[in-house]
Amino acid sequence: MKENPRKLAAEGLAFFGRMNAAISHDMKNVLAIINETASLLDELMELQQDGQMEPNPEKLRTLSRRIVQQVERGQNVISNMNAFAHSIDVPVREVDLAQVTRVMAVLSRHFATGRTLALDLPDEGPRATTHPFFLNDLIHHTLNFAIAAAGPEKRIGIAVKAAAGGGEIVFSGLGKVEITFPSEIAVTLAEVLGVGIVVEAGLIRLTVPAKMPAEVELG
Amino acid sequence: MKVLLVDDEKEFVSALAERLSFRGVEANWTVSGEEALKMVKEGQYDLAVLDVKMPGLGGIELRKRLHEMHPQMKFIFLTGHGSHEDFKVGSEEASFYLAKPLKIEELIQKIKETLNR
Repeated sequence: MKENPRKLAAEGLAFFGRMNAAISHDMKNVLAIINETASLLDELMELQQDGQMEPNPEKLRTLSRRIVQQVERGQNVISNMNAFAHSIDVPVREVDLAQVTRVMAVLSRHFATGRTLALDLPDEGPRATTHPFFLNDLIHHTLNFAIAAAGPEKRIGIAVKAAAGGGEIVFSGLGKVEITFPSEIAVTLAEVLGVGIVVEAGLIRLTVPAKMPAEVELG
Repeated sequence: MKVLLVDDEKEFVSALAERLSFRGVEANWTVSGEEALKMVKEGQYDLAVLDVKMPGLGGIELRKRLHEMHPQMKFIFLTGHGSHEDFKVGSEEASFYLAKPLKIEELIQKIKETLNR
């Protein structure tokens, strides 16, 4: 951190901006569906009241349920956004690696155009004392790389499991890797967090220590 | 006029097609770019309204492929993004670029303007 404070500060801002854009895109889609569905509902009721269309209460019910479902979808987006926003509250703290990975995977779906993200995450994952914001950033970088390097099945597996001295986040389903990984910023983030990066055939492992190195803890 | 709507959000695109039909616009819809290619191969469309960001074949690439198949076909882009970058791409490759949520009267106005060009 001492060597890279400007680089990390700039990266942190850029990461925050990327996630903000992804979240706002998701919310706009939710609002667009609610807008179209509510407007259609209104127009159908008017046509049916005016006798220009046969009454169809089942269709009206289906549309009103669709609005409720989208409100629930929006609430999930906001819950994940909230979890992400609070990742910066306390610089270093204990986190559940499965929970952190789940939030990042869901928020990063926006970047996975043409790919399926298959999550294999336990309800309770291994715990680690780390910098949640920069760990989020490293997971996001790794996932973006995995998305770009996806194999012919276009399916990226994301798993979290306990490992000696901490936990492991595994990204699988990579094809022929033509892009260099880890990138410079991923290396910097991994160094700060004490995370090991292993790139093997078809997968990437991030080994997260139970406690990040004290000498690089971020204030 | 016959319009093709392509957006991966089924609930959005199906409701929009039905609302357009109430206003005299014949609109078919699909949730995938690949399916859109098949539909255009089988039927004649005057205009396509394309979501920029979709799984599989996205709107930008789909527009290129559809243009190759039917050079006279017109395009309007839709996106939930609203970024400067999207606007730039949309302005260059389609007649109009509209951000979600949509105002249907605005969409109809843009469809008419595009087809009258």
